[in-house]
Amino acid sequence: MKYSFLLGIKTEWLKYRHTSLFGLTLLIASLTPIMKIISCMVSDELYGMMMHRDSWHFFLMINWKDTAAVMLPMYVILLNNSIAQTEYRNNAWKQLYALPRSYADIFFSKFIVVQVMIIFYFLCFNLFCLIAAVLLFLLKGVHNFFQLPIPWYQMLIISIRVYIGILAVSAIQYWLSVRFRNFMIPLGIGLSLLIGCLLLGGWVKNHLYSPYLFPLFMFSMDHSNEHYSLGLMYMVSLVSFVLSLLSGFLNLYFRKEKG
Amino acid sequence: MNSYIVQVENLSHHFGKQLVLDDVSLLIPNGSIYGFLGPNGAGKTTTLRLILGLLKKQTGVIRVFGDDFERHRIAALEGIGSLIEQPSIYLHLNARENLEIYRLAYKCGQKRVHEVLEMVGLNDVGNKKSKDYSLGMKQRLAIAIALLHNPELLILDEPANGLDPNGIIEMRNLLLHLNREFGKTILISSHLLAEVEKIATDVGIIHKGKLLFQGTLPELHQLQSDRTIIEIEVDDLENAKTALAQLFSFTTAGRNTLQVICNKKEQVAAANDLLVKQGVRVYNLKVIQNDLEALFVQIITA
Repeated sequence: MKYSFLLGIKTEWLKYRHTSLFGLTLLIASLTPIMKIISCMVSDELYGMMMHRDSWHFFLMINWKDTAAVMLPMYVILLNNSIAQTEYRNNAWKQLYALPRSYADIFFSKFIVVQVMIIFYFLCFNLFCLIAAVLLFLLKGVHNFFQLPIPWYQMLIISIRVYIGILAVSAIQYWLSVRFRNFMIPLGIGLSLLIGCLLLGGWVKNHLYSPYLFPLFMFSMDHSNEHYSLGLMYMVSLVSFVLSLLSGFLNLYFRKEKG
Repeated sequence: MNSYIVQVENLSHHFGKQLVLDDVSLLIPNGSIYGFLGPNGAGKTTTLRLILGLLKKQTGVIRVFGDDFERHRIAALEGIGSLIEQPSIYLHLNARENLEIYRLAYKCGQKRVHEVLEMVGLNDVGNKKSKDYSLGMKQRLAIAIALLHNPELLILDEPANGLDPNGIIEMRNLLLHLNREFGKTILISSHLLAEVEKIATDVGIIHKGKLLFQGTLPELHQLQSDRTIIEIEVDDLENAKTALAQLFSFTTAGRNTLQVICNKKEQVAAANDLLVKQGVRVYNLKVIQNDLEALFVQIITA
């Protein structure tokens, strides 16, 4: 059998069978659509807005706003923690580093698993938005949903933009989670930075230094009116991602103690 | 092929300012069972972690299969199976699923999973979640993982830790079987000499980061017979001390009793002769502390 990076990814992937990762993904991806169904059921104002506007556009916007701002970064923090803690909890890091695999293979194959789970989250979230729309039609009679075509293209574009926005956070959290045995450290740092960025977000004009706000910014910003373009935001997100990921790898590579 | 599968030369290691390994040199012969002995905190695990590349080497040379480990890390690890401290097992997976993960990493065939489970006697419980295993079963699964790719060298750090007497005997028999039938070289660390002396062909004794003895088990036995402590009960203690003072080291062990260190067994007779010539009456002369366990204690407390 010839060893390849793909085999490394498969090795990593197999470790998360029977774990709570998939349940966690489904739970967090479904939270915002469930909340929006409840809000729409109890709020006549929201129901009215849904009936008078472009229902799909409005419904996607209110779902994505909460997800891009809070739910997705929180999911990424918890996901990275769970992935690294699977190794820590089972005393498995030392065995992993005693395998005939390069450090790059170990580091990046695990990171690919994180990315696959994030993409799975996006798929679930979009699916739950559609299910929520069906439920609103059935329960509350929001008939506009089925008078207009489902905006697949808009859903895809928002998903891609928010995904690019979350890349830097996923790399930073991955680095922290792999680096610290105590799960409270990456969790604490991640949540503090997320909340700190959200609190400061309204007061600070320049968001280029707040990676935890990139997903929200990539989703919500009216790029025609902003003093920096969408292109610049893409670039900043991708550069932050590459720098964070490489810093994490180099930190691991030069660590004196592995496992 | 080099006659030594692992060669460690002048290995020293600090944790902060604390020196944990001081100029340690190990030679592990091909095909041997090398017992690496020392009390807790002596530096055994640190040495093994350095050999596996889990700690960054500070000074010294580590050669595995004749090649420098740092430069040929992946090639070296392809030939090593290891168990360091607690078993590394994914507790939410069963034995077969655990082995499948390592099988892909070691690039070996599917049938090896069945073979190693058979070898460690876990075939019947291969589908049971590992978290439901006893410590002994976890330990055996960890050894199955170490054996999966049919390595030439097994590095086992305190593999009998937490096992009941039956488990220890099973483990011992398994290691002997692997060594004799499959020619595996085994480097096994332990703080219990009695456990290792039953299977080891070679022994290294480390204490406070220093290697105090290295050689074959017969050489250790020779050292044992060479270093005997005898207890002599006499009628006149002062006279006895005068008789023995020039040739022997001794301590007073009672009102009329001395403990005398003899470096060869002929010295036991010589001590008796000296006392008789001095006119001291010997009431009792017995050998004490000549087992390997006592020798181990003597070596590490010398």
